[in-house]
Amino acid sequence: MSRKFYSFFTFTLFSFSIHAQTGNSTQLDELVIEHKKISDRSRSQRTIVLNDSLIENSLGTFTDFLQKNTTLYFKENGYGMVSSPSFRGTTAQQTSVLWNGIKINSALLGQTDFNSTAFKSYDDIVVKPGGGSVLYGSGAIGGSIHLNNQLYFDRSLENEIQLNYGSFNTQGLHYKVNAGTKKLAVGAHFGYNKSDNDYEWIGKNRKNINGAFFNVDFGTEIAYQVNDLNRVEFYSSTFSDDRHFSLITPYQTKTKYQNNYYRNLFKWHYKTSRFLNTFYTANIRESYLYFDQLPKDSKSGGSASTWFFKNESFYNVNSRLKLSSLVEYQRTTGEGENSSLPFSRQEIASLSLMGNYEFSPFHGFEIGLKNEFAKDYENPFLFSAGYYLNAGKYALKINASKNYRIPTFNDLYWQPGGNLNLKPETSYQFDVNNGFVSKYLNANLSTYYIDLTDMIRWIPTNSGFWEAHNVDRVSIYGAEVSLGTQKNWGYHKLSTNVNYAYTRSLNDENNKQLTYTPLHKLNLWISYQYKGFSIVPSLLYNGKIYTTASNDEDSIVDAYAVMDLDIGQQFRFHKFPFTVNLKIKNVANTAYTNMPERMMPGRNYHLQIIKKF
Amino acid sequence: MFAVATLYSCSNSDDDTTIPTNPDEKYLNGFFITNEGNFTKANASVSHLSADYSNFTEDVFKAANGKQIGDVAQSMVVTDKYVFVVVNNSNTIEVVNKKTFKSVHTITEGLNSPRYAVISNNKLYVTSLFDASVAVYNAETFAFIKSIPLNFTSEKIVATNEYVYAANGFYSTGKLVEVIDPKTDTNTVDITFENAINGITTAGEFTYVLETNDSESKISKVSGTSAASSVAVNQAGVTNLTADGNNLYYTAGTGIYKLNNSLANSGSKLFDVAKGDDFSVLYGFNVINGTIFTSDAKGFTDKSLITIYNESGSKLKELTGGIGANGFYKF
Repeated sequence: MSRKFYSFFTFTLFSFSIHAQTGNSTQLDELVIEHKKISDRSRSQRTIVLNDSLIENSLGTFTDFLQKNTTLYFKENGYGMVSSPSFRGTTAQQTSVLWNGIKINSALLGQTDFNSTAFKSYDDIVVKPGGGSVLYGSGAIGGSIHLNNQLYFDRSLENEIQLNYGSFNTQGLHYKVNAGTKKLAVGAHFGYNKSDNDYEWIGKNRKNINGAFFNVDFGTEIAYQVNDLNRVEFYSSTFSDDRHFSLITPYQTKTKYQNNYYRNLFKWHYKTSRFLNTFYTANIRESYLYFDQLPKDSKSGGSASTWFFKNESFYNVNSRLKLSSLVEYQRTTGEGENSSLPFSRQEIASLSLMGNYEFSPFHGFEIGLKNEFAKDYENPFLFSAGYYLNAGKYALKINASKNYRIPTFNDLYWQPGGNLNLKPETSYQFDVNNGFVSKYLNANLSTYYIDLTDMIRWIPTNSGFWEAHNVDRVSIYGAEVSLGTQKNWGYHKLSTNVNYAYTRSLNDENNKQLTYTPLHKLNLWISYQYKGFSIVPSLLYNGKIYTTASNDEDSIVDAYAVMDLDIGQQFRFHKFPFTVNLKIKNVANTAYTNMPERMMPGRNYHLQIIKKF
Repeated sequence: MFAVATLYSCSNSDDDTTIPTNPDEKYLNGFFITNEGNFTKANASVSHLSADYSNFTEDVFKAANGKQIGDVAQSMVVTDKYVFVVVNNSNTIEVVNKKTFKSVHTITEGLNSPRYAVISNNKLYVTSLFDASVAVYNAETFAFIKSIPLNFTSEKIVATNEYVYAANGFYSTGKLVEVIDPKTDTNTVDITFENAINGITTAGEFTYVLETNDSESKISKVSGTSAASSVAVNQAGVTNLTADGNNLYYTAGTGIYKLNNSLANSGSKLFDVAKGDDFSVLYGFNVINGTIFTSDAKGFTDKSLITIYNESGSKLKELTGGIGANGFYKF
């Protein structure tokens, strides 16, 4: 039996992880690096680091990027429009997004719009599937996505500029600069994207109408090493976009949406050999305006401001036992503008305690406990517990946790329909990860189970208006398989990567698959490099989705497969090296929709030039 | 049973005596049902149910025209020849042949989030969610005639022989029924109510108006351009005011109520369609010839459950409709 079990995992199951775990040797001082901290604090869970070269060579939206490189599934209302993820069959509000360690899901909506996220401004993006509410609070049910900037001391000036232009007058400019002395590290970045996005609706004899979008972002980071014990960091980021919402039928009233955010974060690290304390102060402001009758100036909107105070402590009791704690307080105020959200305020305080014990350098366990204190809804007690084993080529991670998603501002305070009697959505979940690493192969298999109760949904009441209620109970089980291979000979380099997700997300009431959740999702790419030349064909497959709770076959959105082709060449003209990438998206010119009646673009071409100096 | 037998024999004798009909004419009696669909999903549809409930056809527009009708089928108007389907978020009114449901014309001019419509004087009058006005069209040529300014945005619109009545929307600031004279197409008189208007219906020369607030409701009878009499209904959240024969019907929560249109009293409860606090179980409601049509919109996550009752609450038929069945219309 056990032999069978073992061969099952080694033979069938795999994965990819760009950064293999470094195991048990992590030093306290590495925990000031965000992506190291994420993996070190969740050793019984998988973390996937999408590194800077992957981000650098990408084009398009954050949705495109994650669709291609992870098992996340996205609902996109036409290209570039509102995009919400479904992580392990959960909802957009059940996916937590963090910026340099601070949660940034919209206070008003509870979710992050992945087409309003300037992903190219980050140095690494960590995707962590599974429960994480003990560490990251509300929303970390399906998983969490971490957007991190990295600062380097003692580094000479580095500049990177990117330009891209392509079909539908799509254009972009990205610039990054980094420099550091022994005491000071500075980074800054700027991004601009614009597209007419007026692609042909294949077979429908019309174009994508009113789909243009524009966004711009700017950010800076500064770190200062005060002395051996103290270091301070400051992060600032602003983003502004203007998106027209493409029309689903041609005579519709045109609308658009403007989204702005302004984020500031101050971190103070205090470190001795066995103790590290990080204090965070952050202010996150978000606002939106919705123009409902273009070209008229009729609009409504909303804004929210959140103050975060967080203190994080790590203490190595001895070589085997590590303890850490989190004390957090956040205060959010929000208000609608010409909308039905009255001025509202929410305060949340929480305390988490975590412990990690190593039986030997190869295996150990971790436990986390958390309690939150907030008005307006019940505060469940949360936990996380896990075991990890690192036996060279094989790694096992097992984790169980209780997580939650608190009601959003709109859920609680919108008039009419906001409901102060809402309970948080609560989950119990369990996952098992098997990793296998060798010279040529990197494989991972994750299997998981999530039991979700009190799902919040807006439903029409008998008096006619819609109201937020805790209605559904959902059971999700699934598997994620990742496989990466690599082979080099001479100047040739061949690598492949496959991610496959099987997601069974069932409504307990009728045992049917949740709507807008495909059973199968697959992406793969093959990269061949020769000296400075590279060619990367890739494929994305999304299985069919149901749009009704009863899973009526006449209301499905068909499965689709889309192929892209990326060709790159590095040029080394004397002292002026640069890279040119040609990206052909949807090479086969496949007509497909990701949401009902929302046609996606056919074949389109983009040219990208990257220059570092 | 007797009624069904009679209908059956009637249609038999029709077959024997009339000229062969156009095979495309699939809808010859019964009821049309508007299914509004999910907002921004363009999955609205129209269903047809035969008079004897034996034939139910989903999505008759798509079947006849090979495409979806659009985004949010808010309401429809049925005439002898045509059906006018008001497709709210598509800014269109789809005009179809009543018997084939084949598209005759698509009205696009002068519409800004259209809600409800009515025919009077061979003209089509359409309310708008965004504009405080009523758009007027020739009901034969479908040409846009004019836009009649109102004081406030209006929802439901009804007509008697003499006047067209546009009722201000429940969530608008207006509490008026704005009266339009279809001979001049002007809004000259407004009838003022104390609370927000949540329903309007006509029977013969009279118009009945339902107003409601958080604690109570009132039904008033309008004759010509002024309110004649009224009756208080000691309930909040009353909605779905409908006239049928000499009776008026309304719903409150899950209950269906009936009163005589003399407004002598506020009527009595016929039955409840569901127990407890079930949501959206009375999303669509109408009473046609004493038969009660209801729909449970299933929170818009599933196809609607359509249930047809008699007045004592016995179920005559249950059907699975489209998404968000919101209206029942006599053929």
